[in-house]
Amino acid sequence: MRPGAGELDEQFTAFVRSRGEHHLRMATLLTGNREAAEDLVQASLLKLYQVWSRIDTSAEPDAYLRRIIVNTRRSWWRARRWQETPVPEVPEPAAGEDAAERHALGALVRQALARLPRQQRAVLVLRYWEDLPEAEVASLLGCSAGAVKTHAHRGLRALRESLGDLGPIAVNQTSGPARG
Amino acid sequence: MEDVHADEASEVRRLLATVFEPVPADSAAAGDGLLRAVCRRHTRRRRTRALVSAGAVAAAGAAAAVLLSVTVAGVPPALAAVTSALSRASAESFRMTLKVTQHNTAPGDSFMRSPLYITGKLDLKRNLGEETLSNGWRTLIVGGEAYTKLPPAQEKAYETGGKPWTEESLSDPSNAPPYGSAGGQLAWDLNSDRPFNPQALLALLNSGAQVRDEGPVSGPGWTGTRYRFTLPHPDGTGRLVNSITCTVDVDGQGHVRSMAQTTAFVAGGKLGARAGTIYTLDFTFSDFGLRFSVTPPPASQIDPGEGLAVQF
Repeated sequence: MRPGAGELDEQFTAFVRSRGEHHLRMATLLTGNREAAEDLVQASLLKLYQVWSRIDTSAEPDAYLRRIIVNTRRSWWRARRWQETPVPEVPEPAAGEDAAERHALGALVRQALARLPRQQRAVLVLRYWEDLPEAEVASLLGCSAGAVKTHAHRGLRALRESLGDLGPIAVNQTSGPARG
Repeated sequence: MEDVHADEASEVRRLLATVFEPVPADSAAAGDGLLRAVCRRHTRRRRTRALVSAGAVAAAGAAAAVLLSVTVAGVPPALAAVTSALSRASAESFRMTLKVTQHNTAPGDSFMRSPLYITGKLDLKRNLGEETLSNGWRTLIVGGEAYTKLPPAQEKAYETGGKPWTEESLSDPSNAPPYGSAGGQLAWDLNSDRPFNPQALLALLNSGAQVRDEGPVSGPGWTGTRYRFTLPHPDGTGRLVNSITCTVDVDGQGHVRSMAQTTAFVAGGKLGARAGTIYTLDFTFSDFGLRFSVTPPPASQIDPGEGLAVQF
């Protein structure tokens, strides 16, 4: 069932239909948890919708939403007086050995990501999943371009250490993120 | 520092992609799901704003509202007494102590060092507050802003740029997840700068809570009556909350003297717990009408996160 016509702006609706999944995946990588990511993206879309009529959405709505997601995530984190410990969801195993193996690898990578300091994780996701230039990542995270380089370097090193011999297997079994 | 080499960048992209393997992207389905959720939140937000406005009116004209709620024919006395006391609390000042206890219904993850103790003073009419936490945090509330001083060891984790204080806007409702319901708001508030939220409790009462009179109760220097209500699966909390139960002690002058608020979260819910998690907040209130002032920290010591602000 789709939202009723006229409930939300048509352009906004089209944007969410075409780009919602992409931002949900980015948020999943940032939070390490699909449900937290859904909350984060839904809250961020609501914020975006409230200013939708005032922004130039023909230019770069992705950039607006990305910035809102990053800010909202940081704001939620800071407002917490004790830190919630997200538990990565383990997806239902799919049929077939290959599918099960890929699920397991995905879970391992997600756990390895969850163990990274938040800033390192954010840099890896924004720099390499979102494919943003260093300067833009630095602007989003409120740090210097040099800090982005440092976080990227240390983040990758930590991922490799976490995954050990499984890292190359994971890399060889995937073709990378779908761009777009 | 050398940038990550292009091959390494490719390696990171592929590693990140494994998180979603072998689930294919279904943009249309995901987009429709998000749109439905945004529609629901948009509608709830408008409804909640109306409720909050009603609560604010009640708080602003507390005396009149209290009299009205007590004397309206047909309102059960227990509900009227609790409504009156919470309306009053939302417009006055007092000292507060709070003990937060976490309990898991089965072996599972702990989110906090339990119990956590909070002491402080609040003036809900003037939006002022000072709170000290047993985990080393200190919070000042001045108007629509909350300033939190973190223990030095946590400054790095919270990315404060070496500043000892952080600043969060309390007046911007978008700083909290838009659960869009009083129950969801309370579930969020229990771990926020303002764990005592009489207006959300009032909205919860208005959503159909049955209040029971549990008889006489007394504390140091006061006597009163204990009331209790439970909301199973509060509206709008989805898979987050199983129930919210409150025990409220109201003294002979109509002040809330103590309150125990128990929130039972769903196992595997949005807190990510494998076990069901129960938080109990034990409040005590005293020194009603207390006058105090709060000075914000120097601007040079605050990390406002300006570099992250969204400008529209």
